[in-house]
Order: sequence, then C-alpha cells, then structure tokens
Amino acid sequence: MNNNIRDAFETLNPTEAQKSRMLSGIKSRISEKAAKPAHRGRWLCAAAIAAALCCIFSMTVFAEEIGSFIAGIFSGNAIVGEEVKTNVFSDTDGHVEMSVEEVVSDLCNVRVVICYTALDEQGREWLASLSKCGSDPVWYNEDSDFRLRMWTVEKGYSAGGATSAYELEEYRTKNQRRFVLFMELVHDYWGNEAWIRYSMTDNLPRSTVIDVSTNIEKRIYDLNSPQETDRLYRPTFVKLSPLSITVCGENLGAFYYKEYADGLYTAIGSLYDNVTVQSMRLIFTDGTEIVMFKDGCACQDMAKFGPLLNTDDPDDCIIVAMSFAQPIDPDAVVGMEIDGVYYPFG
Amino acid sequence: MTEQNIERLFAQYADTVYRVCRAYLGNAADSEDAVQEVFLRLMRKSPSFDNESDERGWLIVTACNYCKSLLRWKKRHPLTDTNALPEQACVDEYRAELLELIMSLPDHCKQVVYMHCCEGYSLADIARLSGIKPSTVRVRWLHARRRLQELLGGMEDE
Repeated sequence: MNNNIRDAFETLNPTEAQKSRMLSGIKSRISEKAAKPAHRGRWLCAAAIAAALCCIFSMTVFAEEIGSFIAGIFSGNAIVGEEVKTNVFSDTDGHVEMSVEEVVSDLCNVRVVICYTALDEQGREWLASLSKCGSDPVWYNEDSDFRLRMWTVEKGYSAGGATSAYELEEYRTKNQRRFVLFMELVHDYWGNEAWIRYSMTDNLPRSTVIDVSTNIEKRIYDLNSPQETDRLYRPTFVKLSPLSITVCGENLGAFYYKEYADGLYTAIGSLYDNVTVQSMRLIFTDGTEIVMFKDGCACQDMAKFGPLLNTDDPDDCIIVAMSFAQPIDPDAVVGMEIDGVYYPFG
Repeated sequence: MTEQNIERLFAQYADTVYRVCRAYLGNAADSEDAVQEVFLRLMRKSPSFDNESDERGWLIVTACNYCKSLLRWKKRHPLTDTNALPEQACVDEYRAELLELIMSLPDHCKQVVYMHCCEGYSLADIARLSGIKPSTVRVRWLHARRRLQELLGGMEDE
C-alpha cells in the first residue's frame, strides 16, 4: 500500500511554472521585509518632529500623522501602561500602511492594536470598503479577501487561541482605522509569540509573528476549599493579573470527558450547557467589588469559561477564565466569592 | 538564513511541501500561497537541524499545521474561489481514486500517512518532529490504514 500511496502523491507535484511563481513570491516578500527598517525610521523621525510641534499647534491637527503616539489606547493606562509594547511592526503596499501600534499581554489575554493608515486615494477607498461580515468578529470585506486575525504560535507554527476583533470607532477618520485584535487563552502555556494574518489593498495574504512576552505579573493564590460541597467543582488555586483571572480546580462533574484511544481526554460538556457558577464577585480593599457572575450570567464584557481541554488528567478543570473589561490593580484585591463561598487572596 | 539558502532549500523541498499542501487544501492557488508561507517561516525561524531528515520533517510538519489553520479559517469564511488556477490532470485513474481517498481522511491522519508512506519516517520520528505523543501517532496511523483498507478493499500492507 505504501508504494501506491507514494505514487498517488507524486501526481501532486508542482509544475516548473508553479515553482517559479512560488519562488518569486518568496523573494518578493523577503525584499519587502528588508526594505521596512528604512521606512520605519522615516516614520519615527516624522513622528518625533510632529510631537515637538505639538507644543505650538493643536494636537488634533497632527493626530492622523502621529497616530498612536498620542492615542495611547493601552499605553496610557495607569496600571499596565508601562508594560505595553508600542510600534511593534509595520508594513505597507504603497497605498496603506498597517502597523501594530500596541501590544499588551499577560499570556492569557493578549490585545493588539492594529492601525491602517491610507497613503493615497486608493488606500482611502480601500479603507472605506472594509466592513464587518455578519456576526463574525473578524473583519472581512465581502468583495475581497481581507483578513485580520491572530493566532498563538507554538513550536514555530500557528496553534489555537480564541480571538476576536473590534474597531475603535472613536479613532476612525477617512485616513485611519484602528482595530483591536483580542486573543483570550484559557491556558498560558502557548509561548511568547502571536501570529497575525492581515491584508492590504492588494488583498494578498500577509502575516507576521510578533512578540507578546510580558512582564505583567500573574499572581497565584492557593484556595482553601471545603471538601464537602454540593457543587460540581472545587477551586484549588487562582491566577490573577491586571488583565484576567483564571480559577482552577477539581472537576467534580462540571464537565464531561470523552476518552480517546490515545489516552487523551477532551471535554464534551461545558458551562454553556450546565452553568455551575451562579455568582462571582471580586472584592477590593476599599470595599468596592466587580460583579463577574450574577444569576448564572457573566457580567464582564469579555468572558470565557472552559474545561481543561486535551488533558491527561480529567480531574483538572478551569472553572472560570475571564478577562476584565478594564485593567484592575491586583494589589487592591482582597478576595473573591464564588457561589457564596469566600476565598481570601494571600 | 540567507536568501541563497532559501533558494537552495526551495529547490530541494518545494515538491515535498507543495504535495503536502495540495493534499490538505485541494487547489493549486492556496497551495502555492501555503508553500510561500512555509518557506518564509523557515527563513524567519532559521531552526537548526541535526540532519536532512529532520530538516525535511520540519517543513512537512510546518506545512501541515499551516494548512490546518488555514482550513479552520476558511471554514468560518467561505469564499467563492474565482481565481483558481487550472488544476493538473491526473492521468492514472487508480492513483486519482487513491488520492481522493487520502484527501478524505481526517486532517490529523493525512500528516502521518504522508510522512510514513511517502517520506519513510518511522512513527517514533513523526511523533518527535510533530511534538505529539507516540501513542497518538500510532493511533492516527492505525485509523488511517484501517480506513484506507476498508475503502480500497483487499490490499495488503507492504
């Protein structure tokens, strides 16, 4: 059978014309990347001059040229601002410039600000044509092949990761549009890179890998849960950062697992089908609180719950993994309450 | 990694990588795009290899993973392919039928079938290069072989 399979695959060999086309494409993209540093230098130089002139002229006059040097979407935040990477990557096709302006990450929660700037009329027309397709969060132009997406990178190639995208409408002008790519990972072992797929006016698929490593501290608190419980989970520890909270513990029936022949488990039941967390609050030193769950419904803007997938141990469980709508100060958190049980942190 | 190195590696492995991409993606246009991405990643990552077998294996695994990601994206964004290049005609009906059967296998089985049957990698090497458990690779190979035997009928292993 092996020989027959080998022979069958031989019929898929590319023609010389195809190979020539592919190699040309590779060389062309290598050349584009090699030309970028000079362009970025000119961009930064122009921005520095413009920033100096802001002392004299109104900032709004130069807002479009300077872009996120003044916008500071995440870099202006008091809690995580210092950990935000800025001006991470840029690319252009002569009609628009795409730039990764800001990256903030705790490796469970990655947010990337993408700015498209029109450089000429063709670019402006293309920018105006981008629209949202249906209910899918990834921005998509029905008449073209526009892509804007982000994946995690593991072992040198793209892996998984839930992702969504939304536009920062308040920053939209005829020459610029900004989008936030948001990737929420239940696990934080995917590594320090994210793969971004994007398009420009020629709608050719382009991609880049960016560094999403972080200095954002993630605190781990052990939780002392009562052994006797009528719940389907038992929290044992929590991971808390300014961007996200992940409550981990033992699965006591919250999720149902299917065992495959290779010994791996995949969860086939989830909180969506059988909500086990009815109420959850995060409590701060000043007495204020963030309500995360109420009557079984998530109250934060971005919420994801999930069992531990593809695990060797079906008793491992992520009870709740949730992103905060705004960064919080972990120093100010004294504890959390889940379904009436209070867990002090620290 | 220099552009000259990439050219050399492309000349050596383009056929292999393209075959893998075609097996997943099914059309020439996407496969050409995918091949470019794989070699660009090779240039970007510049991994070091102990031998040519590992070098080839890295490219195959990278191609498989890229194609799987692309297929997931396409599933959520169905497009009418108006710019498809003319497909190559398969002159041998039997091979065409076999190829169709292989393409109908689950994505995670195709990689094992290609690497084991076409490139001669052992299941242990496939597991090592892919970063997945040897037991997982064994199960996927058994599933693929059983499926192909059911569909082809009466074929003996070689």
